[in-house]
Amino acid sequence: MADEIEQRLVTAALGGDKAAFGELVDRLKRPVFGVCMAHLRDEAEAMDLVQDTFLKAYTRLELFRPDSNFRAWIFRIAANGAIDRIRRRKVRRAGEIDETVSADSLDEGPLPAVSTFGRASPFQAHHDAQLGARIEAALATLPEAMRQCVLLCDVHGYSYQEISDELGIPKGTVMSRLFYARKKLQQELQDYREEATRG
Amino acid sequence: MAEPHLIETLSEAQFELMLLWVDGELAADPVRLAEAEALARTSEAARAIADDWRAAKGALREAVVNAETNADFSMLRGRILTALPVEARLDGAARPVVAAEPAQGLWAWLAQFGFGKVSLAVGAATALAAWLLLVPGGGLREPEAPALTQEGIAEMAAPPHSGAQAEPAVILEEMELESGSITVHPGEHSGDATVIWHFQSAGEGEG
Repeated sequence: MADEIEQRLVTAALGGDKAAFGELVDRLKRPVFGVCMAHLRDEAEAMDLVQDTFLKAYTRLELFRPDSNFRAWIFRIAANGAIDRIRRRKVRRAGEIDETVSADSLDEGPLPAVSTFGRASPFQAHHDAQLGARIEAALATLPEAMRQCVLLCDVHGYSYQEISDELGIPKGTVMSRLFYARKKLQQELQDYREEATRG
Repeated sequence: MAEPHLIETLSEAQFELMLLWVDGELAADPVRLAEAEALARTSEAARAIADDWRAAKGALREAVVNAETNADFSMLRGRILTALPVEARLDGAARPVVAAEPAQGLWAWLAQFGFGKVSLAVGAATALAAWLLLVPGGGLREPEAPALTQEGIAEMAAPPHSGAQAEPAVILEEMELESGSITVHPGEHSGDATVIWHFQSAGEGEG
């Protein structure tokens, strides 16, 4: 239903209806802000990027394929904008891993055990919000380079090759960063499972 | 709630294989894809990893786009709409077609007869110029002051002409004219104000 409304607004905006584009801004400003915040971790910069994202979307509207998802499309514009901004940042965050990290350095022994409830997954729909919040909080503690890879892969659905192209790093590095980040996040998942089991 | 099963510990290689499978990165590698599918079939832990990460991806996506915030969005729409480009981009790329707004009201009606805004403005300016030329003084000259005669004074005292016949503001019953002073006596209307005009010629002091 929301997709149909947004599709109608996009069609109107393509016809020059700026009010329709304004409606799209109102509908999507919070999700786009969420994406920008997840990448940039700075509210002022994220708000600035939100504005840039919508302006870019407007100027590239004719490139949007009507049969695709507008939200996913504009989220990608936001992600690309975030990547550009992060590149331009002059101050490296503490703890950011070197781009030349090798797989050997990630060999830290056996993975933590993962519990399960037989065939039924404990991650019911009504737990998703809690799970998502915990993962997002854990994600915020990761080095920026790893966090970017996880966001691009898991939130935006980029392939490893697309992440490699976008970030300008080898595909192997993308895989290493994702692997390392998910090992860290796996602990969060395990803790969540155990808490859910205890009830 | 069901009792948790005993858990197998996956190797790093198996963990990575499951993540590649969940990320859709094995579509171009049928050998590894089959390996992952077989592992998911045979290993409960591998299946759990895959299920966990599929759920985690979705949950993370939802958490990011639905994150609560106190950010102020009140000015955002206005700023964006104000900043929207109105001209074609310099790179010549196609721009969204801006449909002309349908004409409304008087201008639309006049436009039917070929009267655009420019032509109407020219016509109005021409008419004004003609009026200024043809009408003596262009209607802008001050009316001549009525002669300082009894009739002229009466005219000055009379209220402006209006469509309806107005009652005179004063009834001149008697008037004296001497030495540059005109005194108007209201006559029987003793309660009314008496108006006295003094006319001073150049060089005389005020009297």
